[in-house]
Amino acid sequence: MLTVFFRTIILIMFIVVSLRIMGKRQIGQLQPSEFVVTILLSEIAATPILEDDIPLLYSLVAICVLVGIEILMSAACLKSLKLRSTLQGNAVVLINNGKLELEQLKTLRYTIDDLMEALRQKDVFNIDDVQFAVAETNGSLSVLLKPEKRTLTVEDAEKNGCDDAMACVVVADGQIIRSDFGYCGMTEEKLAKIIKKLKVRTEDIFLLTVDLSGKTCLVKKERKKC
Amino acid sequence: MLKRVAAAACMMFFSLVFAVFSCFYVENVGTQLEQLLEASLTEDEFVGEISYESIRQALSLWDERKAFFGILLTHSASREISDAFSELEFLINSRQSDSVRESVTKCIVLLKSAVGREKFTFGNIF
Repeated sequence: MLTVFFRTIILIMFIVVSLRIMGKRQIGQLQPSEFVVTILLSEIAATPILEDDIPLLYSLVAICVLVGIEILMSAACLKSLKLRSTLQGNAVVLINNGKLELEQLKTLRYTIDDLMEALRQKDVFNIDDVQFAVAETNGSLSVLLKPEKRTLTVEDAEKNGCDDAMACVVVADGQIIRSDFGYCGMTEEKLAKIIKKLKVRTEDIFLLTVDLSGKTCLVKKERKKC
Repeated sequence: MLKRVAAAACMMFFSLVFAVFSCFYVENVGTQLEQLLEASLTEDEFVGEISYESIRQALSLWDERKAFFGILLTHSASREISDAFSELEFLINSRQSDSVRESVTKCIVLLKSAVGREKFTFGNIF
């Protein structure tokens, strides 16, 4: 029994340190690979506590390898957009400008009931109120209401009904993201003009978003400017 | 981020080093013990007696290494080997040569099995 007591203390300390190194977020915000690592960590930690036949070192080595792989994968994902897309997937637009994207629903194996449930969890009870709904890579649904259904802010009142709609990422980490062009009416030519107007090279852009009204938000790699 | 990557690389490196060390340590000590025990059976084969000197060497080697051996193997495996060696020691002290031969064989089989389980092979991985 004393063995279990000390094993538990050692494992708790080891996992707390490991999670601190991983710098993890809440369960609901985990990406698929992070979710897998979290589940495996809990299993690996529990096994030597419950089964005294397994040496503690087996568990510690496995935790080290898991945490190491997770951090190295995260670092690789920061560098490579393709790897990030492969490992974490892409956000999928389910409602595009008020129109339900049935093909995307099928691709995600999302039933209309799932969509309605996710919308209700966002306090949206009428699908007709939604302008954009995006299934994020962590499984959550992001919703943008139609302008007439949004809460009025001072900025909105001053804009006199002008609709900014959803801002799309067109450049990330120096690479052009063409997949979202359709959602913000962007083309290669328009983007080239915007980049030229902003007097910046594509490689120097950390993030560039554009909405339907043409409003841009630029974050350069060195310093931030919006 | 760079610090975390360095920490992760270190963790993985030390894990790998430990795993490789464990693999070689178990194989090395296991093989030494097996050789000593096998020698005890074969050395005086024609005389029909067991070489107690080889067994005593094996027992003393096991005494030296059993603590570390126990960390690297599953506890049931190391306990089985430990029990077999304790039995062997008892039989030697009581000079029961027929039973000693049987006990030595049992130790060899258990050691072979432990070393085989720790080996880096496709069979063990999958």
